[in-house]
Amino acid sequence: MDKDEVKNCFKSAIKDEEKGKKHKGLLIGKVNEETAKSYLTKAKLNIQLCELYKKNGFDYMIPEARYYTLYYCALAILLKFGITSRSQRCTAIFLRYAKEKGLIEYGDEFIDRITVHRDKEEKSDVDKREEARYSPLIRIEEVPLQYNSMNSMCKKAISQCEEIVFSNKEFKLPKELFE
Amino acid sequence: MAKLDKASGECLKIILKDFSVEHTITSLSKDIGNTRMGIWKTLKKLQSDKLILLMPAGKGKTSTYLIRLNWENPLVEKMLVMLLTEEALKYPRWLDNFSELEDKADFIILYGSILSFPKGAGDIDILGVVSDKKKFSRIHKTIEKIQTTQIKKIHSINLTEEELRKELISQKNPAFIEALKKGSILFGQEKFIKFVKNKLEKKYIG
Repeated sequence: MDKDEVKNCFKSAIKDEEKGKKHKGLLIGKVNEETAKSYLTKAKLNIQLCELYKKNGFDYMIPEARYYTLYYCALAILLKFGITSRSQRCTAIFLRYAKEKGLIEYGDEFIDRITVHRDKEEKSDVDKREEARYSPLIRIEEVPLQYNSMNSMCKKAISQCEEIVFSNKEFKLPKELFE
Repeated sequence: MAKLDKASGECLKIILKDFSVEHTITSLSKDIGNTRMGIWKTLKKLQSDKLILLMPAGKGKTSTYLIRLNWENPLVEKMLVMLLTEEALKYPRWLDNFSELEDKADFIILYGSILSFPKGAGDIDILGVVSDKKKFSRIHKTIEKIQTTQIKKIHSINLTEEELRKELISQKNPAFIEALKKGSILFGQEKFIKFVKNKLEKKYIG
């Protein structure tokens, strides 16, 4: 992951903020342990929602709840660096950068799944969430078939996110991002 | 309140939690990793602070000492609560995950490899102790809910105080003895201390 992409996420947020606009990037602030824990709790609630939707036959809601399990985990990890995000794209960009720099131990799969692709041919859980949410379908064939494996995947993400969120380690942003 | 150094705190915790053996300077030295002389000094300090009693086991000058917590001193329970709470705070992840159990059990012990090697641990071992069996179903439901967010299997054992006492005293169940010795009392430290004081220690004193 190119550091410049991460830097652009920071720069665009600052620019928007200066113009009094709602930013669409990443803002660096203070590390917020409590908010990170709250996002983790929200991630857990979303995996519990999957179970509720499954039991009640709301299959089409499951991809969204699953996506948000992963996304809230991501936001929790960003907060350990003092970063708040208002961009799904930038969230995944930063996580991939942090992973590649060895700053966090977090599965590639969890980052791939929340990555926003511009190319129509490339798809992630971001697209699956949108399709499930906005298509007229109320039954999606693959959802019940993949339920158990997807559930385990989300639990693994939560486990790795917990390791990070409850770690005493200080998560510092590399100097190269400020050069 | 007497201030405790690390070795003093460790000694008090071991005397409380590892009730199944008669502690000696040598055994404490081995458990804590201090020299025998260092442990002796620590014990003498704890004795002068009236936190423990050192009672000669025999009549000779060189006889070994029986080491007991001085329950007559009200500070002992308070210090033990502080020490056990401090230990539980080393596991914020599990305090958070099991927080809903706090008001459902008298005390909760997390034990096993999850404490020392969380990444490699196969499961999460937890022991819930209640005064009333009716509380079991609430604990089961809560564990089921927590399990929906955890990839590792939660291996939960729930017992009444009397059942745990039997396992420890009559059965001398090594798994439970080890759980008390090396586990962390996540919640209910006061009740755990009272359990040891009233249900376990009496069997060994006098």
